Amino acid sequence: MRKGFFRSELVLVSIALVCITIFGATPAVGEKKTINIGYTCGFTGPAAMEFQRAAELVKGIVDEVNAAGGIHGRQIKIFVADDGNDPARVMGNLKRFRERDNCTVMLLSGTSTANFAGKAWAEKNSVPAICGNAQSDGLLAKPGQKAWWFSTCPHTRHYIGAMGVRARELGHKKVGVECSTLAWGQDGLNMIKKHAPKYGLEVVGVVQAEPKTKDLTIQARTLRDTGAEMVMLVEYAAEKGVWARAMKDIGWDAYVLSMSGGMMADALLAYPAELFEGWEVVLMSDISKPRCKKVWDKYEEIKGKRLEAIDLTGVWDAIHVLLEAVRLSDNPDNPKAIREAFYKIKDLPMAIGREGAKASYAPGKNCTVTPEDVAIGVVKSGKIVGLGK
Amino acid sequence: MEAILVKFTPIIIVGVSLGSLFGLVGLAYTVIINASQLVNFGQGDFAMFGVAVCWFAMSVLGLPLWLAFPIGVVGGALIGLLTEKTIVTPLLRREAHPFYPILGTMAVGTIAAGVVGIYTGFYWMRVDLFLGVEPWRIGKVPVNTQGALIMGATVVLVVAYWFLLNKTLLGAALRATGFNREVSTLLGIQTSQMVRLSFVISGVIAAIAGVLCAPLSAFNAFDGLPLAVNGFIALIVGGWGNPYAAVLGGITLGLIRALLTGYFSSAHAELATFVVLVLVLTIKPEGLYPGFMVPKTLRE
Amino acid sequence: MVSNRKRDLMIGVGAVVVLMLLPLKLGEYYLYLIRLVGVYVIVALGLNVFMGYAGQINLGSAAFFCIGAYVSTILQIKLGWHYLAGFPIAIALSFLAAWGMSYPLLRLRGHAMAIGTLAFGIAVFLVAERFRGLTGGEDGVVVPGMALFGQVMSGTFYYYFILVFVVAAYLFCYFLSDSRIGRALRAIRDNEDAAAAMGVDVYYYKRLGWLVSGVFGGLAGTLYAQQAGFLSPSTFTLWTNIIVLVMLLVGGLGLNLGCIVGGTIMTLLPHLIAGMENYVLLLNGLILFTVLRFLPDGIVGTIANILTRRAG
Repeated sequence: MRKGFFRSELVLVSIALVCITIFGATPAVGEKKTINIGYTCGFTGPAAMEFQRAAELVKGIVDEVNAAGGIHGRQIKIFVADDGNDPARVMGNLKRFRERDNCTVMLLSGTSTANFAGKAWAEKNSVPAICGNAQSDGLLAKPGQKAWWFSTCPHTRHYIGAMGVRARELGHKKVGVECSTLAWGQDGLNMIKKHAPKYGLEVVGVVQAEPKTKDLTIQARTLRDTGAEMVMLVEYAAEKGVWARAMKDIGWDAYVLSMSGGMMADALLAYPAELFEGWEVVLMSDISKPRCKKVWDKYEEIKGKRLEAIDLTGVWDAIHVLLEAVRLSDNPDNPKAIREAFYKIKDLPMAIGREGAKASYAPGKNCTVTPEDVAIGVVKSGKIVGLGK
Repeated sequence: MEAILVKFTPIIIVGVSLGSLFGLVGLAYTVIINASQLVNFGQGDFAMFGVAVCWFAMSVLGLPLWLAFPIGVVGGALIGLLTEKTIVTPLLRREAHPFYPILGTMAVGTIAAGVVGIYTGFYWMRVDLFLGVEPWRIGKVPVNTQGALIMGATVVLVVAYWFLLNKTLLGAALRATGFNREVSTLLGIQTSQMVRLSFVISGVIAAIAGVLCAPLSAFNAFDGLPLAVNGFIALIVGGWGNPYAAVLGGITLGLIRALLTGYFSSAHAELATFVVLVLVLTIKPEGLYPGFMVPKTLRE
Repeated sequence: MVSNRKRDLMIGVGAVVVLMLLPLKLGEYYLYLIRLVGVYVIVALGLNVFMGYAGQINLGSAAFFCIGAYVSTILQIKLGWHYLAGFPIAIALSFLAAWGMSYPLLRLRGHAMAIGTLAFGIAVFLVAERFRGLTGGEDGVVVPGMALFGQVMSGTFYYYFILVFVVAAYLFCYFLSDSRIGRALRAIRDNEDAAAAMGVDVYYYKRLGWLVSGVFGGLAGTLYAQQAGFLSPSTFTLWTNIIVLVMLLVGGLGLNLGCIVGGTIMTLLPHLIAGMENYVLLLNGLILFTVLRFLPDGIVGTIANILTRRAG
């Protein structure tokens, strides 16, 4: 009996040692010759489809650059991992990319939640990171502060501004807000409350929706009773559908302006299109602009099918800015050097903004779009089309 | 007065319809509890699997809803059967602590969720509102069609289950098996078949509940677990082991949530459910309606 | 019995020495993984006392894990306290929470206890997720680094810090197992009524087991938050409760060594298949299924059985 136990524990301890040795002996360290980029992406989670498309586009662009000889003669290796929009997993992925895979610059495709974590990590570990679609204002660099986290899309304040401009255009004054109880919703709500007076708007009512809620009719009724003339939505795709049904159920035909084009596109895939007919939505990019079409053409080239997704422009800009920074940096193996290179980029034209907009990338300020530059679209027969402005 | 009624009625309707959903899941739990004293922790995943099969039939095979729905229900029955065959009966036979087959049901549920998740990429399995987007109108009060269907289905299923248990020989055998397995075996009842049947019935009920609620909010492979938890809370709040109390418990919870949403704020409705649960467990652990509709002879 | 102890001690010291030398060979990422394993082993050891020794059911073990993590972090962020000042407070608050919840929860039996503890676990998670002002909500919060002697502590420091507590926790459980308390707990597991008849104060010992699992959870939580540098409620979901339970089962319910084996496997699993994260759910289900169906005594338990049979 004594001998038996001795052996079993010894066996197990040796197994453990062997495993650890294997771990230590074969780390998948990125080969010295390639330039390594870490890409953490929300393949599962609230905006899954959008980010899956983004990843396809990024991989296609990187493959193209590699086929043309890479940067400074070195191939680019991109490590991709899912983070499920979970900030803890974002941290874990970035950590692994840096420490095991030797990545010197990071790309993120995730919601604001994921990017708050990514930004914190980037700053703590002094590695530059860029994202093409996160919107929360809290992510913007403070004036005078040099950033480690960059973005190439308009932020909440721009969107809210665009929404304010549009609402004022239509002559509305009383706004009801429906928002998610989660991060992005709360951030949007605070921004709306803060900026509404600038556009002559008054927030008369707020209702909040818990994620995966099955019914919002009570909330819709509450909001209607406050006298709201129009509804602003800061909501994820699943709940958009529930809200749409709620408004139909109570027979409320008010004007709806929704903050995210990407989420709307996903909602159209999950629910009957008639629920959203006539809704207007803020777009990251003016879909009538030639640069936007160029992004869609590239996507069709890569995937073989045409997908007119607005949100692809943000990640397009992000990967191009990233590659440009790598190209301009003194030493692509040094994260600090790449970060300095971000600040060297001047006037890189971007795919976002309305016709005639002067949107361009400016480090630290990220995207220099004004509210008037941000485009608005409308849902017609299940598709999002530009307003033709 | 009319103003209060106009505000109050929709809240009641929403509360009852969503609550019936949880009550149905609670009912599904009791079917298994009453036949085998086991709790099926994979109950929510049974529902999710039913939705997955229905969705597959519609989107991949192109079948219309009226065909896909029964196919989804068959899917629920199948997963119930699978659970029972692969893990429950082997563990029961081994006479392990009842904890183990209960975890076994969760294991099978998780595997189902994992498989469906991988196949769908954890993306939504779209099932559209059965009767279209426009609501019914009863006078001035609009009623959401899907909610009405849920309530209707609940009534039908409860009546059907009552009929099965009290008016058929099979039902009597089911009840006997749950009441005392040894004696039932002595009486010639195939108790293992009864357990199997209870899992199949539970799978059917869960699948029906799942497909009915899928159009309400985009349903993906992860959504089985919240249904399971809410259904279980409905069961505890209503009355352990009592199918009719479970439905009533679900409706009670649904009403509480709806009232909170209507008169305070919707932000904390989920937390409220757990507070109610803890209160019930502390003050009246046997549930709010433990004796509801149970004939005196079967009460402990 | 004495030579058993001596032999165990030799193996234990050997293992600890190896672990202490690892930072010389392994990079920060692997040290991070081992730290994670250590943290979850502590949670598992605590749960094992309540579920393995005493045979009770706790489906809300992540609750104390969550409380410990957030208390020490909030004290640092909101009140500017040093981590080492917040550390004992976090453990103390976990203890108090466990004490408080022992009144409603421990009276329940079987299924009711399962759902009660589960509800508690989910409720704590919801508080962490919804009260953004306090906890940062779904977005999570950055945990400030800890400074000692003017220097910010590195991952390697946390590695040794956690190692100390893992060893301490393991030793605690090891000696508890053979003690009078351990025997009382096992008597309760085997037959609660018989134990009561023999004069065991069932409620007292159940609560003791529960408090141990609560304190261990809180300890693990505060260690986890500090070494990760980032804290979000997603670490403490319903799933986490299940995973910890699976750790116990995979290793062997009631076996301390099982906690280490199970903890290692389940913690490392999602990281080993990085790139195929879609499969985590399926793999977790398959592992649970396999263990329940074919290895009811867990890996360690089954190995022990085999070897006992061979020797005997």
